[in-house]
Amino acid sequence: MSVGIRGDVFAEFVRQHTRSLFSTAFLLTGSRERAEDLLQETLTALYPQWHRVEAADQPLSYVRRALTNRFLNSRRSAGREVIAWDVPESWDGVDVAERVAASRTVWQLLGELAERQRAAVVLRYFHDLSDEEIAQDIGCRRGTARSLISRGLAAMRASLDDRTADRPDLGAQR
Amino acid sequence: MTNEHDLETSVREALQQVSKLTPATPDLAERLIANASSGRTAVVPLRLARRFTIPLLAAAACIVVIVAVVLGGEFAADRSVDPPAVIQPTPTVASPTGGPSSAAASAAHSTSASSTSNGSAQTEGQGASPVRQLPPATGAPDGFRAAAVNFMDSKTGWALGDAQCATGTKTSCPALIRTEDGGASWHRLTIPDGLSSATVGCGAAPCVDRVTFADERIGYLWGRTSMLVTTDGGASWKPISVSRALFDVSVVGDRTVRVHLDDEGTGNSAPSMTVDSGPIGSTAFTAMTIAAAGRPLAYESVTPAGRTAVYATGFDSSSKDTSPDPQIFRTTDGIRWEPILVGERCPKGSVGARDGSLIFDCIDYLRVLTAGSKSLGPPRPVTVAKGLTQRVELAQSATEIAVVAEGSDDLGRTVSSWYRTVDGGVSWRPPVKFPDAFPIQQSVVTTAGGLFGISTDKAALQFSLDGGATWQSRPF
Repeated sequence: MSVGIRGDVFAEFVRQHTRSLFSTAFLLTGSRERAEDLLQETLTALYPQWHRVEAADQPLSYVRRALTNRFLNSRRSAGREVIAWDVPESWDGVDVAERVAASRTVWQLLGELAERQRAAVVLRYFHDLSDEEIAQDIGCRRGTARSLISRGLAAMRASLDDRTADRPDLGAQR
Repeated sequence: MTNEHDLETSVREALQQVSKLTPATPDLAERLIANASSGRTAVVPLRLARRFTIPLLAAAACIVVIVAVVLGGEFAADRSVDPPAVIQPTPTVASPTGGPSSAAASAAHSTSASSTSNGSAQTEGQGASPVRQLPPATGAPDGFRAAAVNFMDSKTGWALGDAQCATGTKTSCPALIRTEDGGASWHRLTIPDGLSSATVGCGAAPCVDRVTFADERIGYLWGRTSMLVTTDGGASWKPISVSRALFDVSVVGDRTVRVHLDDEGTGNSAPSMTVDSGPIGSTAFTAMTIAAAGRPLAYESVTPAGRTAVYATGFDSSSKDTSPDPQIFRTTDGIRWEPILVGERCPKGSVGARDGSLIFDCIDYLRVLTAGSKSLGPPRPVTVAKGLTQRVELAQSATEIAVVAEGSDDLGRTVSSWYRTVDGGVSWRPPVKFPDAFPIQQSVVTTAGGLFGISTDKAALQFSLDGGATWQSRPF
């Protein structure tokens, strides 16, 4: 803990970027508690060498990359488990707005994706990262990153088709 | 969500909405700061921490004082025979983040040498970097930073990048340089005016950021939307039409194979990839398609394997099964795809070997499809240090394969190691450990007798002439 850490710089970074990093963590984990723990684990691991983060071209990207990798590694070591996928509270009631309904469905579909597909989709559609950046973040090749996104969306499309077949009322959301 | 494009839009909207509807709690930042600085790895609400931790600490302090008072005499008497200080064991790697670059791993770590299966010594310690710094090369233009390198063998290679447009200026211009002595000296080749900066990013077209040479005369400069060919060793260049985003250019047999990807806007349409090929040096290309049971398949991946084969995996885009095992095709002439087998779906895809084999990277294990074979080898476990994330970095052949493993140690320092097998994964040599992230920016270029890459700051050529046991870094 004493490798030149400048606590004020660390604190300033965390205060400035907690919102963004928490969003990423929540979109990856689908749970407020898991998102907070993932973010905590990431920052705790990076804290002793924070000057490395400062030296990075884009410190926020550096931390997000560490966070994504930690998510993928932890999911891998934990094996596949059924997790509760939080739905934002304001979506729990009867919401008649079509866009919100569509988003609610998409959010649920996202939770059904494999972790790596979900990470790739979040990095592309929430952070607008390029194939190369996504590949770097999740530790794969460009083609694999592209494939993860494509297959993730295809899976969501297929799942949506199945839901529509089972519940014609969902068709209105499409 | 009435069409394919709308799904992407809906995903964007959903992610934004969820993000807005689930904000971080107001005190999260302060909790993260407090917990990180105390080494806690789970979020502890501050109020709870204060409620329980402070009284517990106070109670513990009282107990320590009481014990010290009661036993103080004994401790004082024992001080004269205190044993020598014990050196604490160095931390083990157990807490992965797979983080990006860096973190000097441990000067505290010991350095030791071990004998490998072929008797060569490898550095295993974290304290000593296996990367040896060499004097700067001669002949490269001022300020040269590489975007890509391509080597034919351990001596002859090309580097495409940026350099100062004129001495003393800060403006960067694309530059192509060639070496015939393994990077010790370079000379600049002429490339057409008007190209965009390669390493800064492709703004205005035409922009090139990759270089692929088929031989000493015929080569390509290419980027997402542009492609140029030379047939006279770089003395002159001709543009080649690129109608779809260019993703990869490789040479197989006497043909050049191009892989294209759709633009971002159609990312979720299943057949997002196309392949075409043409004679080496030609500007004309013909589409290559894959099919199974008479039905055209969509490309899922295309992987060059040296200059002797290119592999493709395909899937039926009309199928409802979104994760079917991939149908694997191989071409050795760059004209016709031959169906090989139905392979295993591996999360990290596959890596082509120089001898035309294909290595499937299934994270914890790998499987080898040997050149010319139509059957997949058995799973071979890839065992790296606990907590590291590994990827197959390159393959010289079906038997000679290297894996890079990266992660963080207990103190959050980034560490990386190079694992190598020479028997197709049956056994693995002791890792070469880097006191940092793996120092090469992009995939390593393999040649006969050499491995080449670019340093993370793009300012040096990193190479190994012993299969990765030791590395050298020479600034351009």
